[in-house]
Amino acid sequence: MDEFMTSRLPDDGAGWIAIGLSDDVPAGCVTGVVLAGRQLALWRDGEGAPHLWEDRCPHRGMRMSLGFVRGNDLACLYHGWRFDGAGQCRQIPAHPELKVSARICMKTFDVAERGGMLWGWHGRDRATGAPEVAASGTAVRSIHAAVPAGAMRVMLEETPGEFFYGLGQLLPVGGHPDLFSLTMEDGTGELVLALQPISSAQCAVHAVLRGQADAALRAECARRMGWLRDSAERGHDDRQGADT
Amino acid sequence: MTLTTDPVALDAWYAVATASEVTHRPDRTRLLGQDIAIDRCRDTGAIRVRPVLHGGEYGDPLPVIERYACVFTTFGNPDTPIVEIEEAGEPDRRVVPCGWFTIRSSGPRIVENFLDMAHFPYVHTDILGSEPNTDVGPYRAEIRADVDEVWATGCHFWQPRGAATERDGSGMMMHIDYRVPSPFIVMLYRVAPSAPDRRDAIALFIQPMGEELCRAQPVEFLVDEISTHTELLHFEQVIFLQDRLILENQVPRRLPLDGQAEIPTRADTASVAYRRWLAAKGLGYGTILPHGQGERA
Ligand code: FES
Ligand SMILES: [Fe+2]
Repeated sequence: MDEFMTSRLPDDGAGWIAIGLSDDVPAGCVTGVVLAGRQLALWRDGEGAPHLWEDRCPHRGMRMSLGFVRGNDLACLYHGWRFDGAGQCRQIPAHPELKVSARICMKTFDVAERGGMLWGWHGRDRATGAPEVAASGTAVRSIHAAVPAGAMRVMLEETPGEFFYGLGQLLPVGGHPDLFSLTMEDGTGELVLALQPISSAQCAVHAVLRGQADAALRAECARRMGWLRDSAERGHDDRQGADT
Repeated sequence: MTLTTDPVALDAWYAVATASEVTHRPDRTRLLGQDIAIDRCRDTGAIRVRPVLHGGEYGDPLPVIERYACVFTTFGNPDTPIVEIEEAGEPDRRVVPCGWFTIRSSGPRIVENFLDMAHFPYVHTDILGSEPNTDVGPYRAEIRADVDEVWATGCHFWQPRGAATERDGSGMMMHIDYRVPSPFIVMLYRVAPSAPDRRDAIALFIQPMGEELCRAQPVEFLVDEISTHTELLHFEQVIFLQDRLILENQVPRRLPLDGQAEIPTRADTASVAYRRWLAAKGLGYGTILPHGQGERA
C-alpha cells in the first residue's frame, strides 16, 4: 500500500492528481472519488465551484458522497447537517436554534479545475501552483480499469500504437508520470490522457481533447479508450494467469 | 472465520432464527464468527443449535430458548436471562416477527440507528419524519445500573405516518421510550395508534454474524388489530431498506466508543449513553474501544 501511495508521485511526493472530468460532476451534485488511496467526496455547489472533502461526516461517520447539495452547502444524508463551502457546519436540523460550534467542520482538500478535468492535491502541505496542463479541454471519456496504475502506465508507454494507431503518437508528458499527450496527425488537435491510481488493483484514465474536438473525433477517441480498458484488463488477466 | 474471544459478546443471548421456520433440515448461519446449524430433532421435535466444526461435523448443542417467536442461543454463560418483555404475555397482543434483514454493518451501529430520532426526516422522509419538523426535543437518557440497561424516556417526534395503521399521513406527535436491554437488542415503546391507552412494543433482535455483518429481525408486540401481517411486513421493509443504505455507508462500520471519535449533539443523548455503557462493559466486538482499553483479538 505504501509503495502504491508514494512511488508514483514526482520528486517530493506532492502533486495534483486527476480525479475526474469536469463534466462528471454538474453543479449541485456530489460523488465519491479516490485520491492517493483516500476516499473523498467531490461536489459542486449551486454556483458550480468544486469542493473536495473527506468522505465522512464528523457526526456519525456517514459518507458525504451520499449527501445532497442545498444552495452552496453540502448536507449529510443521515441527519441533514449542513456544511458550507469552507467545510464549516452551519446547521444541525435536530436543533435549529443552536449556534453551531466552529469545531464542527470537515477536513478539506485542495481541488482545481483545469483542462476539462478536476484535480485533487496530494501532499502534506496546501497546494502550490496549478495542474500543469493547458487550460482548455473538451471531455472525451473516463475509463475505469481493474488493473493497477503501474500496469496501465506501462501499456501507455510501451504499446500506445495498439489503441491510438491512425490518430497520432501518444507520448508521456515530461516530468509527469501520469500525463500523456497525442497530437493528431493532421495537427488539428491534441488528445490528453491523465492517469488516476485508485487502488492496488484499479485505476482510471481521463481523456480530453484540445483544439479540434468535433463529435466524430470525440466518438472515435472514446472508442479507443474502450479498447485501452479492455486490452489492459485482458492483458492483466493473461499475465496473472501465467503467474499461477 | 472463527468464534470471537470477546467475553462480553460471548456471554449474551442472541436470536438466530424464527422458531416457526425451523425444520428438520439444518439451516446454516453464523454467530460471532462461528458457523452454526439450526434444526428440529426428528425424534423429540426440539429445536437444536449446533456449531459446525471444521470438516462439517456438528459440535455439542448450544443452549436453546424459544421466545418472542425466535430461537435464542448463547456460546457463553450469560449472567442475565433473555430480556423480559412484559407486553409479550398479554393475551390480546399480536406477536409479529417481521423477517430477517442482512446488513453489512456492526451490531452497535444498528442499535444506535434504532435509538436515533434525528434521522427520521432525512432517511424515512414522509414516513417517520419530514422537514421542516426536524426538532428533537429534550429527553432523558440513562444507564439503569440496577437492571443494567440503557433507557431513553420522554422522547417525542413529529411523524407523518409513524406506523402501518397511519394511512392518511396527516401526522402526529409520537411519544417513544427506547430501551437497550442487551448490547445487541434494542426496543421501543410507543403509544398504540389504535389503542391510545396502551403501548406497542417493538424489539430489534440482532444476530452479529461477524463484527461488520449482521442479520436483524424486528419483532412487534402490537395491540393493532387493523393492519394485516403483510402491511406490517411491508412497512418494516421500507423502513429497513432506508436504514440499510445509511448503515452500510458509515465509516468506520464498527462503533467508535472513544468520546472524541465522532461529534454528538443533544439529540444523541441516547447514543452517548449507549456508547458509555458499552465502553464500561468493555465490549470489543463490533466496536472500537478507546485507546488503551481492552486487547483486541
Ligand atoms: S452522520 Fe452526518 S449528519 Fe449525522
Ligand atoms: Fe431508521
